Amino acid sequence: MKKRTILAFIITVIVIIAINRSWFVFEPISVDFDILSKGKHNIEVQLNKKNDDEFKKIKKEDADFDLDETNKFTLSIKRAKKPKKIRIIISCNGNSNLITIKKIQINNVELDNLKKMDVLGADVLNGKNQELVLKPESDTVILTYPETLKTKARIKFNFELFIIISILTFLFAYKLTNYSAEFNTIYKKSKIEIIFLSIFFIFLFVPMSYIDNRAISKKENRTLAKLAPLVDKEGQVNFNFTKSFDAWFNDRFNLRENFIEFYNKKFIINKNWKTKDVLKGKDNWLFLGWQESRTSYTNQNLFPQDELKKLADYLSSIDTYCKKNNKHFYFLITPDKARIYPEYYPDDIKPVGSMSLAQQIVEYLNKNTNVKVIYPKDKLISKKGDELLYFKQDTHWTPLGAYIAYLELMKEIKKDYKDINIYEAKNYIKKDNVGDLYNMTLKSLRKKDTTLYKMPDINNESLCKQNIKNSDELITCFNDKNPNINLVSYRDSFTTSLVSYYCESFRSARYLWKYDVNLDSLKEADVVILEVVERLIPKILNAVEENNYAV
Amino acid sequence: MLFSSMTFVFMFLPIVLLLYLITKKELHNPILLAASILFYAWGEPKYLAIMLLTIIINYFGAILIDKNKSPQNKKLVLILTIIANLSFLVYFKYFDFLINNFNHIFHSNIQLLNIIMPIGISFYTFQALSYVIDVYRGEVKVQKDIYKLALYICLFPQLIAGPIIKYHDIASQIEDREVNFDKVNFGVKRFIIGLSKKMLIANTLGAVADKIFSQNPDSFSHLTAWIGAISYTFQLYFDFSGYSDMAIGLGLIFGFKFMENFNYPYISKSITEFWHRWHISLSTWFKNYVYIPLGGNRKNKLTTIRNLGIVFLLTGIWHGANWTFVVWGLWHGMFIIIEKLLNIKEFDKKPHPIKINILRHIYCILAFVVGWVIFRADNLSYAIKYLANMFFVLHSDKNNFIYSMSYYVDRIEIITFIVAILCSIPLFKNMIYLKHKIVRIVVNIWLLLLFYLCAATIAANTYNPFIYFRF
Repeated sequence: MKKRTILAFIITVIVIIAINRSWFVFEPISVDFDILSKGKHNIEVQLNKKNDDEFKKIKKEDADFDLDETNKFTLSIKRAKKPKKIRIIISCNGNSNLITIKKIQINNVELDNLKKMDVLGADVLNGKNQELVLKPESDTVILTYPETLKTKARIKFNFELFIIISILTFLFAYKLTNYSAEFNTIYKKSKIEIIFLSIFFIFLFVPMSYIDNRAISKKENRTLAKLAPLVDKEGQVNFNFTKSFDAWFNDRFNLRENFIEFYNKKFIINKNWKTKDVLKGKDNWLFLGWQESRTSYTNQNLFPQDELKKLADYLSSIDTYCKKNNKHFYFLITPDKARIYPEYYPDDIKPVGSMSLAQQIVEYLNKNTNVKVIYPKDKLISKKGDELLYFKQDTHWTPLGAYIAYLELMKEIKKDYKDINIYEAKNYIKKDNVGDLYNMTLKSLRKKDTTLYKMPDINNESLCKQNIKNSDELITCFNDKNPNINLVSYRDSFTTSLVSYYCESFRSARYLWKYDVNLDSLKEADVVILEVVERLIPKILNAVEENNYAV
Repeated sequence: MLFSSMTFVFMFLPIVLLLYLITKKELHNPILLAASILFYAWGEPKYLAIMLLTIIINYFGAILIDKNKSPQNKKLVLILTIIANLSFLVYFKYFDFLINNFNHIFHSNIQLLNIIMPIGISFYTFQALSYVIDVYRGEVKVQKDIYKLALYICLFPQLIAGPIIKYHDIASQIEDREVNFDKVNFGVKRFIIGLSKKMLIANTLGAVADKIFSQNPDSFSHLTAWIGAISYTFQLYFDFSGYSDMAIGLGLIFGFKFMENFNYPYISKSITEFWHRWHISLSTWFKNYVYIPLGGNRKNKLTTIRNLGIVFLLTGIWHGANWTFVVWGLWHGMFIIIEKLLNIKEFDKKPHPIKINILRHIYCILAFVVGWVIFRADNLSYAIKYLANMFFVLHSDKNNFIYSMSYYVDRIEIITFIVAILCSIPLFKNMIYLKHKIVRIVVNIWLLLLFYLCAATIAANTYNPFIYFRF
């Protein structure tokens, strides 16, 4: 046999192995349920690859079911080869009807004795035989089967595809090796140069050799780009295909995170490193490096008169609406971390002048409108000697910082609602924190913050419902012990630490993660809060303009 | 598509290279043409139409020139083709600028059209012009195969940033060229060098220049102003010559031999010498197709001065639709004319003491650095203020300084500055061509390392974290 035929054969084998997923597939694992209940439920099945209770390595699938008396249905979980543990999460969507689970089968093998299940979020009642009867106590019921599963996905060998791929690949590889062999202009070959070129060419193919399929990037905290089709469903050519392709490839090429990590190592050389995202401050403090954050600190983002007026008009329109409808509106500006702790900010960046955008707006609003604006900068500065009010390695305030701001805000609200509860912190705990800035810092530059932060010992998370699927409204809370004063808060991430305090004051609270206030959403509210962190104030104008808000 | 993008280096390039290198010669031109069209369409598919029209116009224009027997008719067709080419360029590059100036002078209020310039139009239009003029002059045969002409005009390695290839230099290579191991090897090396110049030097110092030039000139010190100007001086050279190296390298891989575009311009001792070393493909283009047809220096001194003035005015305008470019062109033109009057060429031929040479270097560096400040500034008033700060005329208030020096320049930037200086002088010239075995091993390892660094830099540009926890 000629050398080139052997080479073609080797290439074919490599290709066949490389794309084994196309012809050698694991069939999805089917989980069959026999359930008795009423109303809409979402059922999610998680199969854990490892034999532990952490459920970190999972394959999952979920679906909505409108249960009516008895129901049988199946969920198919793809790419779960040999699951060891199963967890079932039932979201009840507000109804508390009894749920009776008669049978659960995995790949047609029944789980024995469902009563062994570890149950969270529901009371277990006595059921017949092996049935598991649940009385939901919260919106989400979590069932974990304590025993190790003894199932594995069936393997499907796609013979036809295997033949097609093998033959086509061999034909192509044979032609390819023939061409290469006849590529006779090669001369003056030197081993050093052949090695050099080979490494170069192999390296060129590395990034595209594997495409990351994840939907989200934990590290970057965002959704990864999806590939839009070249021709859409209506048959129209998508002229943005190339841009979509770039974004998709940029997010998903092989070894992406390793490359980025390697690149960022260069910052170690610098005395005061500043990456695109993070500025190194003094004493292991970190600050956000984005332009909006720097211009806010250096007072370069002051508004001209027309923009001040635009913002004031917008806020006044909300205020006027609220007054007309017997509601009250409060505008809360959260101070930037650098504003409260400038002493830890890098020395080579200094603010110009003494007027900041927040101050400019507070003064303008107080002079020209009736909008109630709360900017707790001075209060926070006066208290910062006692305990840390912002995390060293996070952009946000600590729960204690948020608590001080909450008290300032409530002072104002109390003037309008005499009987409102104000939460009073009696017990405090100390906790450490892994900050968002720490996560945004390159591994090689990280120095962990071991500080213990003092914070009020408040634990009322169970009063809040998480809506993971609605990114604009992640949580809603309800506390029937409070007087009937209801809150709608437009917000950014700084409100997250205020939620548990608000829970102690308002009967119901809705949190909308945006700045353009939709008047319809305020119908059931008594108190309306628009919270914005100082550096993002200009974003309010963008939000208003983008939505053509009529003010 | 940009050379410094993930999609180009790690998707487009490997696939095109693989296809090109494993196929027979007959398929080389079709593959390159298809790749070039895809490369161009990638950025903005609709601008492909303009480039294709340019190809068609010049194809038929040249055929008509060739067929016409009477010199007058030939000339007429040539002029019409040139007008057609330039009208695209004027419309897409200068129309808004012209309206703006018209509004300014006549206090009118004509709406701007907000035209977006198709990428590379200045480069491929000049290439197309070179073709029809060469045919008119009878220097080359007319190209009857439209695919080959299309390949000349849109050949992707030099499509978006030059060098501007003249048709007479490359006509025979399009017909027939050899692809061999040595060419691929040296091509890859030139490509890596170019990519490193762009990603590692130009981008680092570009970030310094951007930070400084985005500030008001009265909000930083004289020293910062100088650092900004010098950073930009290096950024421009390494960016532009990096692109040229990449183009020349890619050309070599595909078997072409493009002309060199830069020859260590910053070691020049006069502005005349500078223009023999800087963007050579453009200056020779103007020389061939504007300066010499206008009469060059064969007539009297006054005509020579006029011709030089015209050439440098056009050179300035070619770089962009802004008065800063016009002034920058005239600034260089002024020195060229003065040097011409002083007969610098004769002066150059004689040996001079070191002191004189140092002074001449200082003169030349000052001239082009000032030029780059004008070139970089968004408008003339910014340029004047910036220069005033550099030359101690503008007294800026220390209290207005937002950023201190260490914000702009940390250790990495200082190291890059040193590397930039070393690479601006012909210290490592022809390094890749040295034959000594050890040297070759060291150079090869070094180049692979540089390529890895470049890849990491390109990859890092895709890092785009989102700070809030909301998916």
